[in-house]
Amino acid sequence: MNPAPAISLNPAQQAAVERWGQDVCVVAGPGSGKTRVLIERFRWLVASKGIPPNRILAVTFTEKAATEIKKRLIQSFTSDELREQIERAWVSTIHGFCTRLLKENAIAAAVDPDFSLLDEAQSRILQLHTAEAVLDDLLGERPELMRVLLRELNTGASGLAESLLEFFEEARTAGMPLENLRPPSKQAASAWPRISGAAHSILADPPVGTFNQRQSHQRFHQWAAAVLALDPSSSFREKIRLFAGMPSATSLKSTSRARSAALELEETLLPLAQAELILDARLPVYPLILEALRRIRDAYSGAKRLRGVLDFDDLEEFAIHLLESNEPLRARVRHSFDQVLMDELQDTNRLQWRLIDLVRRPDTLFAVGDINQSIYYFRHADPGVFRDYRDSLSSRGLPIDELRENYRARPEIIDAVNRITPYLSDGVEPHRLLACREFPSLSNSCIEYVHTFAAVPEDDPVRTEARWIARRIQELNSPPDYSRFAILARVIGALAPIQQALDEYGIPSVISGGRSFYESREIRDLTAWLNVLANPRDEISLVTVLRSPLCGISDELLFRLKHSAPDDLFAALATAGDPRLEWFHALVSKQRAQAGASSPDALLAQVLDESGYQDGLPSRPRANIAKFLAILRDRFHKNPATPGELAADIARWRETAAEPEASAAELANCVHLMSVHSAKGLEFPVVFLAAMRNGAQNREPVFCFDASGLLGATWRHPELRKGISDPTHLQVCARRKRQEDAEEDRLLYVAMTRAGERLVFTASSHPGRSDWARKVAEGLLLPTSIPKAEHSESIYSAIREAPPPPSPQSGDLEEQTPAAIVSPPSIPGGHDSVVPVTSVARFAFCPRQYYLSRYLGLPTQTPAPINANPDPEADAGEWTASEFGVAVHEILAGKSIENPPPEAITLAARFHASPLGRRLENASRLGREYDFLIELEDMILRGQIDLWFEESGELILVDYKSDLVAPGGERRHAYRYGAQIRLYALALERLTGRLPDHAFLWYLRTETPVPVSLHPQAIAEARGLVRQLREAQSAVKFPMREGDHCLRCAHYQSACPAQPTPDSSNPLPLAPS
Amino acid sequence: MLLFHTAGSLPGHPLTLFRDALSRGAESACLLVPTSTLAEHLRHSMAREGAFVRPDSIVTLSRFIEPYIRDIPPASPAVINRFLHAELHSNPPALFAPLAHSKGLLRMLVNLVQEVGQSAWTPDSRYSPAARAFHQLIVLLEARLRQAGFLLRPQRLKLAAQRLRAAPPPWNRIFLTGFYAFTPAELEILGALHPAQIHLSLPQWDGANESAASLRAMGFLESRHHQPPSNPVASIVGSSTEQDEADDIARRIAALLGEGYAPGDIGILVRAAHPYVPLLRTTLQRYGIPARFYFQEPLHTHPLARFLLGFLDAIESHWDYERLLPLLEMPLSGVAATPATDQLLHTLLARIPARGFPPELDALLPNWRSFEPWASAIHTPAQWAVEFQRLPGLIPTPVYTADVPHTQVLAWRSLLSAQDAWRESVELTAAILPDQPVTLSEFRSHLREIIEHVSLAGRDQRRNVVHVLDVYEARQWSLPVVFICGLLERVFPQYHSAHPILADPDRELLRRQGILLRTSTERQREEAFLFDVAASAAQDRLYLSFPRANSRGEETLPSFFLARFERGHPHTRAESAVPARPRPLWAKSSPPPSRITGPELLAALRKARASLSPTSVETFLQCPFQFFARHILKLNPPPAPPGERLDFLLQGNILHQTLAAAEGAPLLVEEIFNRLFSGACREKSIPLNARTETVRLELQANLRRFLDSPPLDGAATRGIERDFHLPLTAGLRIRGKIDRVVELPGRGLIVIDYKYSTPDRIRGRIRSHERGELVQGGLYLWAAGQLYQSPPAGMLYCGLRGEVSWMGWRLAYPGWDGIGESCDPSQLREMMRRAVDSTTSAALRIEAGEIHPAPADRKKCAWCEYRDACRAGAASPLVQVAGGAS
Ligand code: SF4
Repeated sequence: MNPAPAISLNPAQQAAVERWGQDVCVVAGPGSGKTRVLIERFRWLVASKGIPPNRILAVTFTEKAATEIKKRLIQSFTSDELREQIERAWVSTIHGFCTRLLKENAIAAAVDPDFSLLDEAQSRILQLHTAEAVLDDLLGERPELMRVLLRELNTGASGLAESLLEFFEEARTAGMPLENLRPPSKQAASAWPRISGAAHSILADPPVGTFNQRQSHQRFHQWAAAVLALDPSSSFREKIRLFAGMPSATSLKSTSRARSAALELEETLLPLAQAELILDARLPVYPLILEALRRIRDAYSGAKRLRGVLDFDDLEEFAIHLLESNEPLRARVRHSFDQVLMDELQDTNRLQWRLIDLVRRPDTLFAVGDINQSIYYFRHADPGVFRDYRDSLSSRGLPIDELRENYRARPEIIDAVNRITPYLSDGVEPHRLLACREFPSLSNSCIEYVHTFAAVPEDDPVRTEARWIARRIQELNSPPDYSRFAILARVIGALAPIQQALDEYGIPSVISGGRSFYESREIRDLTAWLNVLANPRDEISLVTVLRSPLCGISDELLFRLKHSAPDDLFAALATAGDPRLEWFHALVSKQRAQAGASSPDALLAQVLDESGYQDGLPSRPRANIAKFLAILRDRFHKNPATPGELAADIARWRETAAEPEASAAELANCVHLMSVHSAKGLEFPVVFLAAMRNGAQNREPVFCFDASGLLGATWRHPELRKGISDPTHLQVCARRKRQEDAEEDRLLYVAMTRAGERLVFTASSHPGRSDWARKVAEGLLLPTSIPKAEHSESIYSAIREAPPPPSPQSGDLEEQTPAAIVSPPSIPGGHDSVVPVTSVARFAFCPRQYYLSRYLGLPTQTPAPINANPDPEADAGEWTASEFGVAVHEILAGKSIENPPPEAITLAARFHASPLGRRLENASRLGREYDFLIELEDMILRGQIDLWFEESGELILVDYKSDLVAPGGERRHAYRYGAQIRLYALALERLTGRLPDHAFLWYLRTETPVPVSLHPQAIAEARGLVRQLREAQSAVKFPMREGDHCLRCAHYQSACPAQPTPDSSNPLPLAPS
Repeated sequence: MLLFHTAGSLPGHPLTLFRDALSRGAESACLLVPTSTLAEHLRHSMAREGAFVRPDSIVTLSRFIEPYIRDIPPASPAVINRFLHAELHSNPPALFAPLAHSKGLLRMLVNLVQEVGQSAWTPDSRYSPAARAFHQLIVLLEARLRQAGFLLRPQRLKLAAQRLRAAPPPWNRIFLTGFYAFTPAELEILGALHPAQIHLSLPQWDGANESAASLRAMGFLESRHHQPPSNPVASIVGSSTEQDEADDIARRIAALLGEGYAPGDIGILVRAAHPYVPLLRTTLQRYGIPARFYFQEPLHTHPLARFLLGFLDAIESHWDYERLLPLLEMPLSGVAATPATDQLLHTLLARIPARGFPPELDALLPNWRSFEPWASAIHTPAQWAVEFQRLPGLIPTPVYTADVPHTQVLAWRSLLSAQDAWRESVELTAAILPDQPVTLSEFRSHLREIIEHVSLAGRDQRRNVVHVLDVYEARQWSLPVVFICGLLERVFPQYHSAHPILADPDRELLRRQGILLRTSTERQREEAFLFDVAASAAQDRLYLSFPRANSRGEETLPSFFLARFERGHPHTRAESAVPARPRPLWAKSSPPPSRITGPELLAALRKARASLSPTSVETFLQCPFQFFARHILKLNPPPAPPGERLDFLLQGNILHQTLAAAEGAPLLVEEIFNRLFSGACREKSIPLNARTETVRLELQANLRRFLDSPPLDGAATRGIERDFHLPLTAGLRIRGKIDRVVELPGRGLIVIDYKYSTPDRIRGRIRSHERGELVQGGLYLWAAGQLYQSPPAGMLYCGLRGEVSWMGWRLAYPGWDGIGESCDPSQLREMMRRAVDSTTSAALRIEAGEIHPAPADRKKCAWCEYRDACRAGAASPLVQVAGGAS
């Protein structure tokens, strides 16, 4: 087995690692060595239990974690074979596992075996497309009901399609089949007796309190009276209007009985009554919602099937279905894993758990997790999965392995976390963490809390906070290493001003997991370039590019050009008299001429290179550029497109805003900014938890469902700009809110426990939704209200002013490693490696004809004219001149052909009967249709000699011609073939060691031999022709040789612009003799 | 290496022996190699060594047997695809039925048919259901193929073997090199050639064991050959990304060329075309390094096929603009990238969704319309093939100009090669489809399928090029300098998992029936062998490179081959890639500060600012650059996509127009609204779908809400939609349109401006007014005073979206609670004064040439259409929302 020595573990860890023969549940607090335990478990299973790596299934939360685990495992073994096995082992995310399972069992799973995975943005676009098409259909089929839906649903900014999709996604993740959903049934008015009871209570309580409170009380009396007087048969609208008119309960005296009745009305009874009313009113539309959902599902599945793609949810759904429906396969899969290791169980959803359950055998699961770190509720993770598993083990009397020792943070930080945890009781279970790592002592506190506020309206507390953080990082950055710092925030949007401040301070940084890739300056510049390629009449893009460093035009010149050519700014660039603009115009024009043929990354790389855009560019934008080019390259490679199509795609990607900036993998020395979610599993020596008042906006969904499958919805209030939930919606959203609140607590817990040596809390007085600042302050016994004046005490500072403007940093934001600048190498040639001898002859005859016919390969038969009526019968069964020529040659070469033209047989026979032909009978050596390759003048000549033979010590070369030539015209006709024959002669010289003694062109029809001179001068000229051809190819120079022959040339009046005049005939370069 | 030879001949490496034979002029020696690229490479190398080379003497095995079986064409992948497609659609085995329409399954089956090559095996119950289903299919396929006169490769080889036995080839000595192993059918050929002396080599690896055993059984004599290992200077180069890796390779090649190496001395080897080939193509081109890529160029992604298929698609769709427009953008249309077409593209874009041949195109492309009858025509495949002869006539002929770059020449050669391939594909489609009439759509879809299996004949024959090859092609190549890139686990070596149809147990069973298929384990082992072969191709220098992060920025795992190589080559250097870039043409430019100073331009600004609207003044106050871009440069944006045309501006306009038109006819208001709404949709080509209907319903509800809201008690209307253009100061006129002016008896004029905004937005507007950022209220009050010669009594904004909200300022008036805030006349006068001051000062600043981006409210940048152009603007609102959500 040959393992490297194990890493030393503490007893609790060791016990967990070596627990055997049972399911294991490890509750691993932050910094307690969770990953280490998982890795050691894997290692122990292999090294001590002899389990082959490929029989262990390890499920991680991210691909990154899987790579990390494999890497560390690989390092812990020295045997090559084991290392390779580990690399191929089943260590992956749950999606990775499903992908592999489905690929290997595609037929059984009935999925396209070659399926590819839609990323979130792609599936979003496809879903939206299909959902909108479904709604359009429904509108056509059931316009009245659809109009009610479109008008009355409280969809807010997101439309009906988006709301349905959000619901669809939620139902899928929860494993709730749409068929199980049903509309609510009509409600009996259950809230009404309690409402009238409350109204009676209000009326029975006389007005008390201040003047205003009494006034208010009076208004309440009137309202309550109106409620009691309400005719039960009055309309939905009347009732709703009355409810909407209830005064605010807080305007009543706090100790009054009326107030408690009013509060009950406000918080519970009226929403319930409204829910019942709205349900009654909208009930007829619910079946339509369900139908829309089912149609969307079917249309979306169909669209995916057609494209051979799956989305992430499909992976789990299909894998579960495969395993559930195929017993032998399930048994095989189960049997293939001796152990299942599961990381981050607390962030698993029920569907994923079902999958794990299907593949694990009893007593083989080793799960690690921590409920306090469950932070993916918004992605439907259910901490209850972990709780249930833990409880199931406990109930079986099995031990739970608890790891509370923290090896990450200073004791002061652990202490702070332990003090704050009681204030997070909604979501965090009370476990005290134990600080176990030793640190050198510190002279000042490693906990800081900074609150920025605005003393005057002009102050910007957010900017102050951002700048304070930047300055503090500068102060703490000793020894210099920015990678020690992380800035975390609840919402990623809050990090933008902080990154801006870091930029001002010259501190390199990168936002991980943000979604602003397409919004970064460099990507916008490059996108604009593609837009210009698509159409330079898009003047906003044109100006974007012109003003960017891709071109760098001044606004004054821009104005002048637009002023002079208001209708065609692009055209004006060519004549601006500015070399750089001329370059720009020429480059755009050239690239447009390649539209759709060249990969867009090549086009963009060219402009980036030529313009020097990347000179001195910091690493972050450079990484973004590389990522953008890779995305385009990949897109084009899979599905080539024109710049216009690409630009439309990019606009769509930009809209979905789903792409993070380039990863920081190669950006070593920089501060990491990230959302708390992205920080999961990471740790940093110094953590800033910033913008603590900035909370996420948790929107209520438009549709929801309860565990029994009842559909819920929220509708527009007919009077106010708000929604009315139906009973299911009301109940589900209340539960959801509690879960979200609990998760907010856990997020704070996770954020704080990322820090190792220093933890800095910052908040600004800018209004926000989060109460983290308050909870932290309460836990640390600091002021909880927004300060009114600057002060600082112990770890707490309140500040209102931004730190002094930063001094510009030298080069920090500049390119960190200057690139090597490479000049283009000078490479001779550009000519072909190989050329047919006949092409040399064609070149000699007319370089342009050679170029068009041979070099480019233009068909010599012009395609049928567009409006021609093709006649399929034409020429059937007849021999064309060239087919006839081939037939004669083949007969002469001794080959048998089917149904040869009789004339061809005659011509061949006549040659054999000729004096030259008769010499063949005595030939000592001969070759017919003799193909060859030889090297000449740095080119490979390819040719075929019709006939050569040795007879009576003479070496003879013959080339047949079957052309129709008038008797006596042979010599003139042969003129063009001189070079070809001499090159054949050179080939024969290479074969036999000597030049032929004679060479002939044999005119079959007239039985005339035309001798070709092999004089050294002529041979040298033939060689020279090859050289000339090579040079012409290198320089791409192929002049026309105009003459009468042009009239017979296939390119005359099409590809060739020749206009021969009677006297324009040029002499041919080489005479045959 | 294992050497095999028949009795009577002397052992030796086949390549060396063949070279000897060639140099001695032996005309009866022939060399067989596995790939055509290798054959070509060897032919050329030997010719360059001075030999007289007979091309037929160095060929692939397939080409070698071709003369013997020319009468039976091979079942190409395209043909297999066609017949499998027919089987799957008409009579699929039950297991494949749910996936009968899956392209992935079809592709996989085509490959599997080629790999297995025959149905001569018995799928008993030990085989998996998928294997049995496959057998069922391949039996049917073979029958179909035979009926159509095609044979699969193994059968062709067997037939060739029979015929070879009957008529031995003219070669006395036959050499085979570069083969990793032989299939049973290939071995039959060797058996048939036996009368000739045969010399062959096989590498010493697991995959060749079965072939070696068969050869021994056939009586071949075996010896071993120990080739002295090449010992190049080797480096392992790590780079941060794939791009850096490619840049570093280009940088090193440039340096090597400077040292005197020729491009042809250098090879870059990759495990597979993806992802490195596209990256290397771009990178080498950027650095001016000519390279020849020995990879098949598929026809279906070639611009020609895309254009012609797109054209057919457009005809079928009755010229749906969305299909037509990309065609016009392609140079193959012959009209792309001209000012007239650019203009037309924008015109047509603004009409999407639309179909029908646009009349404007008749002049530009007079022939296109003549294809229209195709959309409804029905022809036999042969007739379609004849009809299709007209299509290449659409493609413009390459125009000769002296000194065109070689890249252009290559593009033309590739285009013409694609035309040939297109023509052949059309002919093949016509030949293998049943002779029954089909529509254009049917014929096209069959053609598209065929095209997916067709590659272009490479016409790149350049001499001075760097060779980029895959590792299979690289066998037997020996080059002075070799780069092997992408040495990452899963890239090289690739991972081979179980085949979904013929899994490893099935393959083992097939082996017992004489059909040799590699199992996933064997394929995995082959990876190491491929690496060794590739690494041994280098004579002088070998660079093994890998990126530390993949294109998604995730950390990678370097190939285990690297560590193994290092152990075997202790002098291997570990290096880091140096970031590199080609020399720029221009120094990076930083645009000078924005300011206009030229006298004629200042004069133009003066002229422009002589007449301003309140909105334009407010634009300037928000940001001088926004004003410059919108009102001075008047930059044309591209047409909005259909889904964005019904924006809030248009919605507001429809409401404004409705209110104005319904002034005298309140009972007709809904009718007027619907008429105006449909008119706007027609005019802007807004599709009438659920999205549009949602907007219409909302507008209608808002309108109804407004009409149902209490009227302004006591106010008398003085004017509606009143245009004005009045002098404010010398040389400055203000123009605008007031929605409504009412008179409050005894108080004066109240200006009312309707906004299609929510109460929150109206509130924001009021605050902006109070901060002095807006001038509309003040200027409208001023203008109303001028127009009606009455004192001002108020400026009210009426928000029409969601709830009806009245906000603004007005003098106290009984019964007007909740309608704006009450104020005194001096406040209204102050508002006018501030507006006039701001306007005149803005005019002066405009005139002074102030145009720089300086947003008063940065948050508004997120909605500004010039935020990309100004280079100061923030991220789009969508990004902020998305970022804020998690
Ligand atoms: S985005 Fe902002 S800075 Fe740029 S032009 Fe618009 S308003 Fe001005």
